[in-house]
Amino acid sequence: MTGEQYTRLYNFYTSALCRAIRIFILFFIIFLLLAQISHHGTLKFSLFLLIWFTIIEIFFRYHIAHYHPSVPVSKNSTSNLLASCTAELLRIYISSPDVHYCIRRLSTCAQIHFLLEKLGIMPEEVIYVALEKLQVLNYSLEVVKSVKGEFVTTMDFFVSYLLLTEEQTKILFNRQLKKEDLMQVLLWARQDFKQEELPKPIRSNFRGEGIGESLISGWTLETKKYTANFTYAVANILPFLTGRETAYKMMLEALSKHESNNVLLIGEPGVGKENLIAKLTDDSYFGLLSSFLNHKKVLELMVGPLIAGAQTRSELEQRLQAIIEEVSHSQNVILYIPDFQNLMGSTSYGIDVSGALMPYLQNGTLAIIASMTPGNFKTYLAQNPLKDVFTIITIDEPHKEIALQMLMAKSDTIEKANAISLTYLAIAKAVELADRYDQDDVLPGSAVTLLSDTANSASLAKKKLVLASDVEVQISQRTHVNVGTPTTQEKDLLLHLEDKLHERVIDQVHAISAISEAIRRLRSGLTVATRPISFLFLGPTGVGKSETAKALADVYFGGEGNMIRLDMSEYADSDGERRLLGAAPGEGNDRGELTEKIHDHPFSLVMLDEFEKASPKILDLFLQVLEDGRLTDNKGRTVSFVNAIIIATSNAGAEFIREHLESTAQIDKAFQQQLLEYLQQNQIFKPELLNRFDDVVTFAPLGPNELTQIVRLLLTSITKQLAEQDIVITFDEKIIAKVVTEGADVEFGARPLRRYIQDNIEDMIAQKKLKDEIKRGDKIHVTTDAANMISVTVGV
Amino acid sequence: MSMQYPLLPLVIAKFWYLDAPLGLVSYFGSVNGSFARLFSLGLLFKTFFQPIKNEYRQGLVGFSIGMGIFIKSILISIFLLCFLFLLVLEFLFLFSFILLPIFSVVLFFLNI
Repeated sequence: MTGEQYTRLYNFYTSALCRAIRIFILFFIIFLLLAQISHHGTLKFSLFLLIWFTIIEIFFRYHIAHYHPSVPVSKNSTSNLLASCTAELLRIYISSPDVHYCIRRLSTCAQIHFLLEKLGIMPEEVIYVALEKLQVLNYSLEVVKSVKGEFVTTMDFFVSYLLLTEEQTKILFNRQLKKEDLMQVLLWARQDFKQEELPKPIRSNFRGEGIGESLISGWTLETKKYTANFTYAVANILPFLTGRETAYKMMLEALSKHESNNVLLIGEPGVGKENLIAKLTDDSYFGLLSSFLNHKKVLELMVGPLIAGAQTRSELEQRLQAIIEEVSHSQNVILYIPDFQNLMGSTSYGIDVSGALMPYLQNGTLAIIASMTPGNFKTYLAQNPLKDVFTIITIDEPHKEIALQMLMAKSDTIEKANAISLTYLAIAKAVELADRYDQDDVLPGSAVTLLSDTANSASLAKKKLVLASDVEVQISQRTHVNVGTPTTQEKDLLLHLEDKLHERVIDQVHAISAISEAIRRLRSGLTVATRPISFLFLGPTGVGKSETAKALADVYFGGEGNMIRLDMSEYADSDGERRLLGAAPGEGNDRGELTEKIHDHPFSLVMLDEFEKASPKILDLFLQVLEDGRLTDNKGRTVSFVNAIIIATSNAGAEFIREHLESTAQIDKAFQQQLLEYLQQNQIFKPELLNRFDDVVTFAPLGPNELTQIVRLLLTSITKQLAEQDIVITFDEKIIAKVVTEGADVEFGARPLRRYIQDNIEDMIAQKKLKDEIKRGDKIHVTTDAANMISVTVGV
Repeated sequence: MSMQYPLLPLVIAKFWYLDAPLGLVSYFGSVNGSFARLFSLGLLFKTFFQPIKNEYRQGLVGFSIGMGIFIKSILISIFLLCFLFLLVLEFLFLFSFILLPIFSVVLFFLNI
């Protein structure tokens, strides 16, 4: 019989009519049996019917319903496509008159529901397009081949339909999904619902410890005081092995050795060391490993309780000795020691038990799994002979593709813990953003934490589905980085950033346009993700270099307070490096002034004022910041600058600029080149440092027109302040000209203007207010009198 | 439909006398394995000559081993008895299953 025949038979047998007939026959037989018993008649016929009814039911339940395709896709020459389809697909395919009906019925299946949920598509959003069933089935074969499947499942058929109709429906495009994403989700669904393609035979499968295990293993009463039962702790977390198969195999091999059967896992926080141990614990508990490793209890040593209350060092060593003896005697315990450096003389506890541990670890009576970070390994164990009794397994941060698969495997646990569903794009976004913005942990741990936090927030907000945008919001809240698509308000600001900045900064068109373009590129996702945007502003004092940076901080970063400003003249001596990068290990707890701020606020505007005054050593540090986008502090922590905008300002070459402008009155590319050569020849900046800036902008000294505009701008702030007190103030051209003439300075540019206005105008108004010569509701006009002295006229 | 399935009785016969008994034997094999694991039979045999809780008391090593053998012998005997009972049940079920269609015919020759 062919698969098609099996399916037709199954469909017939499970049809409503046939079900009704079967129930009727059963009741009829029971009735006949009871009637014959009550009338003392012969039971032969009714028993005969009952036996054959049972035989046919068993045949359908355990044979017809258990049909499994026999021709794998790789061997199907497309002459009989149905021979490669799973029973579940065949049942729907054969009983559906067209694709429309077929897709509608598929949408009710659990696996298709899962697939749609991960794609962020509601079942009712699936658009029906007229297609031939055979056309979709033919395409399904290609899909199965591309995911290296064996048989065509309901999921392959559904995905084929989505792909074939994408041109008309745009259902994937509208959700920012690509074909590759769909195939990833298909692989995920096939993995979660592999029972459809490769059904397991019915078997009894008792797993776990038998009732005699506790009789065999030794007592661990003392050990229980200082350890937590890791086996119980991981009982409900479903550890996964994705991407760590080799490390896991190495760990099993190491633990199976007769001597030195100890493992040291080395990896950064979040890399998945504990997950690997959880997997071992789980497999051991369920008896899935070799007999030597099965049914082992994993006990996690807690250093806190171990040292608590110990009066002397010898008392502590006695405790450890008792644990070691118990564990080696018990025969069914693996001791897990996280942060192994705590027992190796780390400053937190100051105990070194390597001598006590060595003989037990060597002779194979005690199995230990220890873990530590690469930094701690180098500091505490690399030079210690104890390391020779460990099989050292280094666990590196996985590639993003592998991390994505790990997260897909982990998502089930996160979903169950928060009673929420995660979409594929949310998971992919978590991997992308955690990799880029989490500076403390590495993948996949950083992405798991981000996704868990997002799921928790979404769950509290009564959402049912976690979308990519939720992950963006979560990372924005955590890092203060705008990572999502710009809002309408932000788009408007970005498109008119030059105008907004020019409200505060007069002229300097090149500088304003350079930083505006850079910010637009950053928010449009067109920048290089490995280095920060950086500018060097050159020019004399008082021409608007710092003001431009402040204006940008005010307009785009939410205020000047959000700007990280470092006066580089303070980093000219030998102590500068310590201040910038923090204290070295063992030299105190001082945090680096720059690294700490960037760690807390990665999306920041960093202004390095008077850049040329920093020591050459400090300038060399910025070579790495500008090129690689990262800086490692003296404690070994690396912070990323890739989301920062760095603006360095410098007066270097100011005299050279002024002299040049006196002769030619313009700044062009040729002059720019001459200026850079001047800076290099005079050893102010190294050429490699200058080349690393995205743009070097030269600020020209301000002319009378620019100064007049600046004065107007400064006077406007007085107008606004007095308007709040219901006092109207006006200034005429004469007073503006006087401020420009007397307030500006060739050497200091526009900087003295504010002081001049404060001393001569604001102070005069303040005095008049205190003398009650100016009151609420007055109109004041400020001008100059015949002797060119400032005069304030008060009217109502 | 009848034209499409002329071999259905043969398929049923093949299922009943070949596929299903083989499947049942495999299933019972897994039940037996689970039973052995549940009662830790393998481990009890492996550690037959070790004391209970692996506890070698100083000066009483011989006694500890003897006590271990004694307790494990009792446990193993009980477990093997249960195991035997299970095997009998499985055999009876398999036997009844195979004979069920024949029994339906034999019925007519019985006086019931």
